[in-house]
Amino acid sequence: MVWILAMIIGVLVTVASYLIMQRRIIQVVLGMAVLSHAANLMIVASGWVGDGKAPIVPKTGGPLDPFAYVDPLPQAMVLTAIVISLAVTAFLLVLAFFTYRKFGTDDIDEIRRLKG
Amino acid sequence: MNAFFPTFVVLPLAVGTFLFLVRKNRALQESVSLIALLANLIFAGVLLNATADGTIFVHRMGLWPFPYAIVLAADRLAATLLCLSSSIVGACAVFARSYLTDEQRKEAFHPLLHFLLMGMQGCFITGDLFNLFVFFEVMLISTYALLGFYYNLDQLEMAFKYTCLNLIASAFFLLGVSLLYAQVGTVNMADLAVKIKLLGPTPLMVVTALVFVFVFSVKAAIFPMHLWLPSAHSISPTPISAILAGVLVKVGIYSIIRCATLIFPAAFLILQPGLILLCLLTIAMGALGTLPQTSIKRILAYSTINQLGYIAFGVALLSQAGLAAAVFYIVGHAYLKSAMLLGAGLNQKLTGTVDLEEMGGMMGKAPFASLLMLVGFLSLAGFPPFTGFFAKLFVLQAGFSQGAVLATGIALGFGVISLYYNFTTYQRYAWGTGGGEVGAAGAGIYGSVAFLSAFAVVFGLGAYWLFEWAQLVAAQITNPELYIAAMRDLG
Repeated sequence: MVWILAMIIGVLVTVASYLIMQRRIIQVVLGMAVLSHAANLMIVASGWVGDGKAPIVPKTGGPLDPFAYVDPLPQAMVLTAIVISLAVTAFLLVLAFFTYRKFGTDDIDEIRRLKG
Repeated sequence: MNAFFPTFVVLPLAVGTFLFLVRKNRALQESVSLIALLANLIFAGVLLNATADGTIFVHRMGLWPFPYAIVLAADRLAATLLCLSSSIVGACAVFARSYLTDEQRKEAFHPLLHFLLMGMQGCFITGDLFNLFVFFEVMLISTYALLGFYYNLDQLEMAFKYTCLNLIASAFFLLGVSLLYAQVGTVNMADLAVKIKLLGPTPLMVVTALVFVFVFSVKAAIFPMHLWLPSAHSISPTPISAILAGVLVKVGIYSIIRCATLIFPAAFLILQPGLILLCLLTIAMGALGTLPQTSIKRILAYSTINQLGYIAFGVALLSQAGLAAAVFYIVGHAYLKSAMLLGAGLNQKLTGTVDLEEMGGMMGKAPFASLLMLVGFLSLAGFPPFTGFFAKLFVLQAGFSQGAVLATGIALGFGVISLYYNFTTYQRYAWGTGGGEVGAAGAGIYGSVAFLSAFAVVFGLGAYWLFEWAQLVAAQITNPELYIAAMRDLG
């Protein structure tokens, strides 16, 4: 099952690289957001064990097979990473907005021309 | 002491929040900020004194047992860098107080300064790799905001580029953490060190180490990730660029030192030839980059790249002597470069420009300011008895004694270029006839520049003591067993 996750990460990184290389600032910002999602999924994937059962211990007790459950620690870490990428993306959007308001365009080539 | 030193994170956080709440009352905001920075410096001094006998302080957050707790740890290296960061940030805050005019003064400046300090100090004392990521982000998001401070065109463009570059680096940081976690299942640095040693330098581990080298070399401006530094350090407001050049790049170097000595020592031995090559290229790019510049801040920024190459070269030698030289260089360069950038700001205040073409004849017009710059440039050029000379001497000595003759010879050769550019810069600045009227600058400006420049002389004349301390630091970090044992004993 983990290969589905791997493929999704691959697709996200491809999309992000394409977007980051575009000329419009808003596309670059979106590319950055997608790239941080790919990194977050990578952390989730690093805790994948066996067949990937949710790490919830049943109430009934009895012996547990620790290798059947996903490692919950990376999922806790990924929450922090998501919050951080949210904050940075919000900041980038503010920067993009200010740049747009100053130059009246969000095309990077156009901005370079206006700056002279 | 163990319970006391999370203060380095808690105090700037609390003060920063408070300063944001009282942002309308500028006088109160400034005085509380300066008092808090002084208190921070005193704490750092106490910690430095307490780590001198080799104790490593460890605090487990939430008192969870090892290796589950997120740990904060302070050894000699961390304590040294804490003293360094709090004194330089303090001097820059004093400088900013008299440097920024009323309309330049933004209410967010002091809160952001404290959040930046919190991030940097957190990086120095954390003993957990994921926590290091979090503190990196705290530090960086404050820098993003401080860089784009006045929303003018250059700053907006530069802040956007800097943010994007660091966001890509952060994604790679997460990639590195997840690669490590998938291999050894832990993020505690001491636990990582033990488990990676058991696993040995597998190909995947070497790749993981390389990912971390990439991530930290973005912060430390090591070739080929050095291109952001000249514009970021020259366009940002002067007090901020002094902090960036003085302390922020050292956070990257510090993280590389931790990786090289504690986390992946075996993988770094495999990567060593490549790292040394990158360091030499950094030295070359920095030295050659200064030649066509006319802005004094840009020259200083390229010279930062040059000097970072020497520091990283000391680290890449991966020996006790090399690390001792690197620690010496870090301390010397941090004070020196922030003094010189503040000095550039002082001259901007006096002449209204940072362009060398429009300056000239400063020796006659502002003797004290140009004397301060003379100390800085002589030290940067590597003249005895200033710190720059001893720092280069120790790095080159460590290189030659290890038999890396060719690489060290090249590093020595580029020292000649640094001699050349420092002299010509000073010549254009101090002598000649150009330049207009000279204005006045406040006592806070002169005081903070003189305070930081004094270290170039003190650590130069007292190089013996600083080097002895650097050797103690290196002895502790080249023996990771001490760090691991300190963490384990508490757990």
